[in-house]
Amino acid sequence: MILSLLIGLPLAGALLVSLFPWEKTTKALSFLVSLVVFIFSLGLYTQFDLSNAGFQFKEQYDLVPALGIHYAVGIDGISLWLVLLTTFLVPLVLLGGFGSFAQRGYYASILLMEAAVVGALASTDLFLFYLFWELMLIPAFFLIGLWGGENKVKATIRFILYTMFGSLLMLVALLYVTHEVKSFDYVKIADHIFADDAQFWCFLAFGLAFFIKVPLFPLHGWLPEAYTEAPAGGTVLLSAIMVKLGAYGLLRFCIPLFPVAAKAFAPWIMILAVAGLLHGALMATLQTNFKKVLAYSSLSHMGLIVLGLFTFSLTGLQGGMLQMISHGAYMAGLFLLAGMMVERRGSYEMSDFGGWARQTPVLATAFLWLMAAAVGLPGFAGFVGEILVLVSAYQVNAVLALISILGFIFSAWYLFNLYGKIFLGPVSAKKKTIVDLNAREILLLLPLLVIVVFIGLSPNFFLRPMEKSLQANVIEKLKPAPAMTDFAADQLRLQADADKEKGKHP
Amino acid sequence: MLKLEHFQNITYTHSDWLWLIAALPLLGAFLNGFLTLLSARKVLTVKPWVNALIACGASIASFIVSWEMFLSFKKAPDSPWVQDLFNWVESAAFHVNFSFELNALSGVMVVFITFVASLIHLYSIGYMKNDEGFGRYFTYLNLFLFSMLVLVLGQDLLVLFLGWEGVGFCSYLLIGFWFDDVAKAEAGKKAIIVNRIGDAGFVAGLLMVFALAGTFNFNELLAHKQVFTETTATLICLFFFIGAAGKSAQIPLYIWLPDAMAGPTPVSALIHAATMVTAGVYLVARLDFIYVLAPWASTLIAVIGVLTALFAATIALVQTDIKKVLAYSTVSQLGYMFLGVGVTSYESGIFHLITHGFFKACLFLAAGSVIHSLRGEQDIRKMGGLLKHIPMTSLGFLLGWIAIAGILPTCGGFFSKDEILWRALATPNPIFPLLPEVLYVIALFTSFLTAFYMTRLIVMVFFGDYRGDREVYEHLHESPRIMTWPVLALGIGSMFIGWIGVPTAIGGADELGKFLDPLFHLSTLDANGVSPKLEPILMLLSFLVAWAGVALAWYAYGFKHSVSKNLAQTFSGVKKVLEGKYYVDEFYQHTVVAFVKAIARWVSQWLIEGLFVGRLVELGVQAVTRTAQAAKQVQSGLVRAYLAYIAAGAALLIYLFLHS
Repeated sequence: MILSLLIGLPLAGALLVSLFPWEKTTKALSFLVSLVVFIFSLGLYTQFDLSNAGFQFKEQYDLVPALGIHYAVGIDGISLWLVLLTTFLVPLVLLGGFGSFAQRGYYASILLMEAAVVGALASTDLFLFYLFWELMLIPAFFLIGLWGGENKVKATIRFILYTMFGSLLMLVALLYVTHEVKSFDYVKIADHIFADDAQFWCFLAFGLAFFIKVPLFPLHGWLPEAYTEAPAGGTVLLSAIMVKLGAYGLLRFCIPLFPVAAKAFAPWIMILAVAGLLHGALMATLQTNFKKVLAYSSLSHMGLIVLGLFTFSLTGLQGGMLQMISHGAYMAGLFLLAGMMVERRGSYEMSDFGGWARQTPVLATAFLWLMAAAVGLPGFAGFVGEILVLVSAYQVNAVLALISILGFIFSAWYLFNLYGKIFLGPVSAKKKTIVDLNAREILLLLPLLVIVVFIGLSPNFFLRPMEKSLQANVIEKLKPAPAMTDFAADQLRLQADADKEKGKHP
Repeated sequence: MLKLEHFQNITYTHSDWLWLIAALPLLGAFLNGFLTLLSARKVLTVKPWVNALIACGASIASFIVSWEMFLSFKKAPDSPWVQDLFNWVESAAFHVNFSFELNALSGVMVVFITFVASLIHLYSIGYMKNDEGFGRYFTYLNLFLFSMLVLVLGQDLLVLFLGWEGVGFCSYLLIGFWFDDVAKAEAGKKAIIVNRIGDAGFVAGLLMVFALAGTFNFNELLAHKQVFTETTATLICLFFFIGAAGKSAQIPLYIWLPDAMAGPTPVSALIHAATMVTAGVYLVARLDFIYVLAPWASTLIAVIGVLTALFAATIALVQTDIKKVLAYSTVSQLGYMFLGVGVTSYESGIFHLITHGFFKACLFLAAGSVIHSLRGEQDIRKMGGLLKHIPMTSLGFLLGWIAIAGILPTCGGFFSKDEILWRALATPNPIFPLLPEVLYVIALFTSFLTAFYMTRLIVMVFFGDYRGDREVYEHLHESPRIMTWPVLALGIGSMFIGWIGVPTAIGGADELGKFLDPLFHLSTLDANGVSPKLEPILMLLSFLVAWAGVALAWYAYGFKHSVSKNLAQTFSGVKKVLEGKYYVDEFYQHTVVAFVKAIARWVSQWLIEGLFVGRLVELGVQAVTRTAQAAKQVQSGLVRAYLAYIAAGAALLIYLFLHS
């Protein structure tokens, strides 16, 4: 019941908020709904069975019996943390919008987004997954298109076109896959072994949708503008939650369903991931608009996550997953702060700032704190994921890992430059006094400040529950299947035998 | 008495309280940070003495705990104390415990760090008095101390790295402490970025170590050291040395340290002279078992060390800012330490680290006291004759000068520097047979330069006539006792600190060397065809060289001013290059920085973002819009296209299922 509640409550909340006659209660109502959802979602953690690698909290009802489509939900160690991250961040995002937005549509969109994201994460039926996946676009469309900045229209068109393009290809592949297995049930599909050439095309078709969402370099064309133009809350939803669904999709569908293709493409994807990591970092050093700096740094960090996932080792996968959670937490904090700053200053241009640490010490401290996590200061959230990914990437390809360490230098370069331009230097006399964070803002940042340190010092809390599921649902699928009888498998066996012979007679 | 011993039995014979050494400053930082933020929000007003009490209390308490532990550890120094605090990261084979280890090396370091830090904390009360950032200052200072202690206590490379990054971060905060001044904020930024370049090397080293040994724990690494071949060990050592060079300001990454003088002077004393900048030396000494496997890497370290020593000393000759002279002197002395660890004489490197920590902290604090007395003046051309006006400070500075110049045997850096010189000469180099002699000559010449520039400094500051502003002169006053006493304590300390390592060659006990020796893993040092009897003679030689430096400088700057002027005129070209600091900053600006910026601008922005991603999308957008327009000529394309997709998708879905 709990998962349905987590999907249904925000959905009902979104409806209620948009239909409720008294607009004044919008804020409180939406916040209340999201808070209740968060409290319910804690039940997922407390009742989570660590020894069970498969789906838990399962529910299944017929949706379209004629087509075999079910409403089937369940979560495992992979989706658990992403669901919790979502339910944790949404109340904070809502709270963060109180200063700028009064329209009910804004709050309804965010709740709708929550329902769609949790739905997509929890679906164990591919049709249901696609439904929720596409549903995410609608609130995102409104958030950027209606409440965005100056170039919101252009940003929205780009965003929608990019993601639609990917989704369409995924739909085709999804239909093929379900047709082949004659079921929409994820577990059944995951157990099916597809022919190699089918894997190749399906991997690309599914992959394109997810790689655009992540985004993998060079498919990131939608990101800078969408992040910059969206309102703070929208950017948080995009960067901290929605792009993680891209990575989730890779982990849930691309890699375990099409392991042969995944392994074949892995070297190229790792190269693109590192290219994106460097490209994002370099672009971030050039920006004068600080939200763009954060946007490109987000791109850079996503490269690291993809790098981790495609090492196919438990450490790399856990590192990538941990980095998703960490990135979600500190990026949410930084973008929320960006929203608070623009409310005060009315601009994202770094040249319009300066000396803020003098005027707003609490804001500056919070920013520095989250920045410490973003630059990968050990003890904060970013570091552990980073080192796990790098260590396992090094074992796959040492050169790539060493190159990606450059990102470590650049992140300090652009973030400390940003901090210096905004918070340090003299306070200009012309600028009107800027007020420090108010109680609401401190309250909403506090959980994020705590969590980035908690992740940094106690990563095992997060790593342990995902371990079994990653092992069983991803790594096991990558091992060559015993039933494989095609030419390649024979070759492999012959090779192995030859190696054994060599070992006997050196 | 019996009761006390009982107490000691339950606390100190077990290492259960090791965490306290690091935790006390952390607690202090948290308390002060919280109070400072509250008072910034005007929730409450915090009196400065409260901040001072918390910070100094934390530091001193940490010193007392360290001292007590060190004493009881010393009784049985063969078994290190280990405390596993918690399981930090566990992912498949990647397993890191957050654990501390007190062994001979970390024990000495902990006592040294907390002692110097406590004195500097006390001094800061006077120096930072009336500064509006008083609470913030002490928060950072305590946080720094915490990180530094984690760095030396960490039993694991990853824990060490936590401290390593922590000290760098605190250094950033403290260099840019007076951040209203853009130049100071920039200096902080420069420090952290250059440090990060080094840290990238450190991370590369981490990756390689883990790939080979599957652990970061020092003891496990030591046990598995056979996994390192000469090639891999060399690579690892070079990677870690990049990290060390960044943190310890060696060529080519030293450029941040002189700029770091923008921070408050006690910070320069603590972080940029005594403790943080020596972390690189500590790292190399801690990983000695890998470094001895890599003669190429060790040789490179020795060469870079001695060149840095020489290079920085020549720049120090012409600096006119009192703190800059000391900063370049620090870079130079760190070069000595790397020379020591580079010739695999880790004890001598650590020995010099400690003596240098004492006298350089003393010199910086005294310089701070001078600056304080002169209301912020740092230009030594505007000083002179201060001896009679600020006698206590002058005395402290002179003690530091005696210690650094090496003009009084047994005092300060005399033995430690000499030990390094001796080892440099006596350790044979497996790659370049003549290298020891070259290293020795350069190092000896550097000690001449050291004596020269330090004497020039004291003559210009404390002797002769006052050359500064009248107005400042009238308000000239000695600093308060809270400042002068720590200066004197460190000054007197640096007079005696050399006694912990009197070389056996002249009948000394070399206590430190013997204490540390079991920890370092190079069993014997073959003499480089140099008789050990030579050591006392060489000691005499360096003594004379130091005096020569002092005498020349005194003659040029104290007695005959025409000499120094003539010198400056004859070598005006050289002087200009030295004053320009060999134009290294400019060189980097026009090569490395310009190159990265060009890549970012032309490849990332223009080629990829502009042409590739941008153009492609534009074409895509246009194609879709045209198709949509061609299909129907109503309204805007977007919503319609969206609906069309859904319809098409649904149609396809239905079609497929009907025909399956």
